[in-house]
Amino acid sequence: MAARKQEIDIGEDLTQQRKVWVIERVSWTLGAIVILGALLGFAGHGKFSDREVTAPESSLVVSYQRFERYHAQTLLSLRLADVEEGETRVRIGQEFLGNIEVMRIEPEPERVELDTDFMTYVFNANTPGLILFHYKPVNPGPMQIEIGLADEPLQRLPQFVYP
Amino acid sequence: MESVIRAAAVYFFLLVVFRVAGRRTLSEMTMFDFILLMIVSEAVQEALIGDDRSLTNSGIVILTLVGINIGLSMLKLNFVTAEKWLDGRPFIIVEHGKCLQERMDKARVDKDDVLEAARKSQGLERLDQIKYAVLERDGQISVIPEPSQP
Repeated sequence: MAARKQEIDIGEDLTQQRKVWVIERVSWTLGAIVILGALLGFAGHGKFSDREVTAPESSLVVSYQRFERYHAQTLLSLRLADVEEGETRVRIGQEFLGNIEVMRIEPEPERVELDTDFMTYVFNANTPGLILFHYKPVNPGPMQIEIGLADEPLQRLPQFVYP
Repeated sequence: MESVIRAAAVYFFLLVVFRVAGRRTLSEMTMFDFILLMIVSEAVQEALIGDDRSLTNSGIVILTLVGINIGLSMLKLNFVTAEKWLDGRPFIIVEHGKCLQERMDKARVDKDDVLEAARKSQGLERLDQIKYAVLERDGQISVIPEPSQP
């Protein structure tokens, strides 16, 4: 080794290089875990992210993603299992609305009513069907989707938005 | 502020990913490296710019990236330890015609890579004509030939 050092001066540091190799291999393992997690849906859209929630004694079924990504368009799907004649009123919490940008609502609501803690979207729905909210989260971090039909308590559904 | 944070986050993320991927990952532009580079740059573009396609945003992003690059080069210049960890150090992989197999395996270099570098840079034909082969910081292999026999 001493002879080599005299012959070729490249500043070799094998002790540090061995540490780098260990860090590389640990990082590859972590990377593989992240990829596996993404495949399973921990980064959104997969087995562990797809959620369908029905509140007790409610006709509203909410489908959403548990994990979302900052500024990525996503979908909040509301299925109305049992609809009375006339209009359907869906309430969404102001705090949740403050964390998202609503891109499109299908079908478009007849009107929107403003309240202190929530907005009420009024739909002319006489038959069971789907209401789709297309939106983008505009703040990263944990948040809650606050949603419910009028005269029912708001459901609070946890969602995490990756930066 | 968001543009600066985005650019810095992307820079350091790529720095860490390519550092731990090993120095051989993009050392020579093979077809697969070229494809990897194209896909990565396409994926990074959205993360860097986001929805803001203004000239101001692009300017801030470019200034941030160049600024970090200058900052890191100054850090490396003044602190040897930082340079060691950021760029790594060269190390010998072939010594007097003998492959140092453990090092080559860890660095994902094989005998063919060394012989290719020897042919290209020195016109050598065999391993025993190599005095030293060194894996450089940029992932290239440099070859020092054995002195020719009289």
